Amino acid sequence: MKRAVFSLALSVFSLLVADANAAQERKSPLSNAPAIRKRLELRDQRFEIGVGTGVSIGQDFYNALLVMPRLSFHFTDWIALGVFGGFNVTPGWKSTFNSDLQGALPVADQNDPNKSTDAKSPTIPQATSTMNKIGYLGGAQIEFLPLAGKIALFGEAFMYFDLYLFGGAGVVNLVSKGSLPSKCSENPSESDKLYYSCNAKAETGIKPAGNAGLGAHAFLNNYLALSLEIRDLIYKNNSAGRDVNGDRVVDAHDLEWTNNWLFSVNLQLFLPIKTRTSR
Amino acid sequence: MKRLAVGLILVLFNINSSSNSFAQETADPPEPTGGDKGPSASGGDFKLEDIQDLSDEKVEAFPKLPKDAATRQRAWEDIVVVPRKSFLKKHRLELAPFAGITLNDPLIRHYSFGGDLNFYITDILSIGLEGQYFIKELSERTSLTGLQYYRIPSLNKLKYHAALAFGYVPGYGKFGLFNKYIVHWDVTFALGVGMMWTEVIPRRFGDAPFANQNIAPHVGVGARLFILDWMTLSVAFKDYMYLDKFEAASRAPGESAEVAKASLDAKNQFVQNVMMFVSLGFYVPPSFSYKTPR
Repeated sequence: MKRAVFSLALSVFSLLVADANAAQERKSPLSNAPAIRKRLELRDQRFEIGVGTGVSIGQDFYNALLVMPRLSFHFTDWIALGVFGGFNVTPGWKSTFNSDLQGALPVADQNDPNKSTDAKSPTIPQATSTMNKIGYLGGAQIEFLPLAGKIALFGEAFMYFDLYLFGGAGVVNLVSKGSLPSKCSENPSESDKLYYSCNAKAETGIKPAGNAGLGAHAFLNNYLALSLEIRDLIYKNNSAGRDVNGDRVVDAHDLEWTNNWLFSVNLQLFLPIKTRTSR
Repeated sequence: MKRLAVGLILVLFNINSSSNSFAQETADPPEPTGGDKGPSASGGDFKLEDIQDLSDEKVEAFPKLPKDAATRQRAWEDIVVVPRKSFLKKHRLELAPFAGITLNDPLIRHYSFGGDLNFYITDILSIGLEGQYFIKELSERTSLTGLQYYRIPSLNKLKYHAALAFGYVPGYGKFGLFNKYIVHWDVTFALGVGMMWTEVIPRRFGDAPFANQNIAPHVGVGARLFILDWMTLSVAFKDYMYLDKFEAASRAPGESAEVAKASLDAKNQFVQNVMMFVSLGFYVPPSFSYKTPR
């Protein structure tokens, strides 16, 4: 009986050992294969250059529609270095809030159009003269493309695409229109400072900015792609050009970090035109 | 003694049979690609003699077993892999709790919490209900407007929203993550109509707020990643459009909510609330089966 149990145990053990060995040696021929084979190398070692349009999202006083050129070089399939620019072509595009605000501001003094009838509130020209808007912008960014694939649209059209994250630095040129009443530069009295709204200063000039966002390429063919990007330009600003911290003085202490979102669509040309195919 | 002998035979048989089965799996040569030396596996050139009379020359003609890295790579190159659609939705119910945020109002931000209940009529068409509750947050620009212009903006807060919605999937795609993992996803469109409950935020402390019920159509676009057979992760953008009534600038102190709402000065304004949502979708039944052969 003991021998029977022993031989049975030996048999089971040998089965286990044999199966374990087989499992170790059995290896799928696909184990070393890349996820996608015979793939069109749409990015690796290629330039992309193009132009498009961008629009600001959630700006306080002025929206911006920008013409945005962009150039990138893809070192590999998943990393690229790019530069971009943007030029505001709608400097007078007021936000809804700006329109509502201007509708509620006091009128100017009948005898002096530069003077407000309300000591505490500026007139429309006084208020708008210190509101700033984007003039132009530019920057450089590292683009990281971890995701690439293809999509079937309406079961008919097949399109290659990718998603990427980017980050970098840039500059934003802020501009304003109009100026404070000349009275403000003539050593005004405390009363005049209020009625002429002298306690204000437009924040203008070139500002350094952080730049981060998310983008996607949708390839129309092997060398043309639509590029969609949503970016956040982060810089210090005082968009109203008025007192922020309540100290009744407008200076650098009134500057605050602001998030400025831009959505853009570009048509990008990839060069060289010819693409390689992976193994 | 006999039993021991039987046991040993069993051991030998086990070891032998397992190595045989392993040998069968690895000995399958990859299908020859190109060239005219190797015999065709299925073509008309195949002759029985090729197997019966395995001279050295003919053995050479067969592809060798993969031994080094290069030949192993040829093995995967010769295998055609076409993965099936990884997730089927037809006749399944989706329960999707979500969180959202308004994007386009510089004065007031709303956080939203709610859920979608969708039934998939086909794999690309769904009908469902949507409900959400909002929590408001006034932005810094609101307080600065008072400080800088001595004006208080007329604001309404969102309270609830409920809608009937239709979903459509115009696109289905696959990602390669670093060309190592395949992730399936689809694009979603949404179209719906519902009711948006809003309430004015009185400019003057102590005044009673009044509420509005607005018919609110919405459109949306989103992307959905398939995580498990019963779970998805979605990101969506929706635009809710409605005509809302705001508190009149001329509202008298202490005026009742009814009078304030009925006032001809109360401004009707078309509002667009663009929102971003993140949701997890849970599907019932939790599994599905393919109806077509692979």
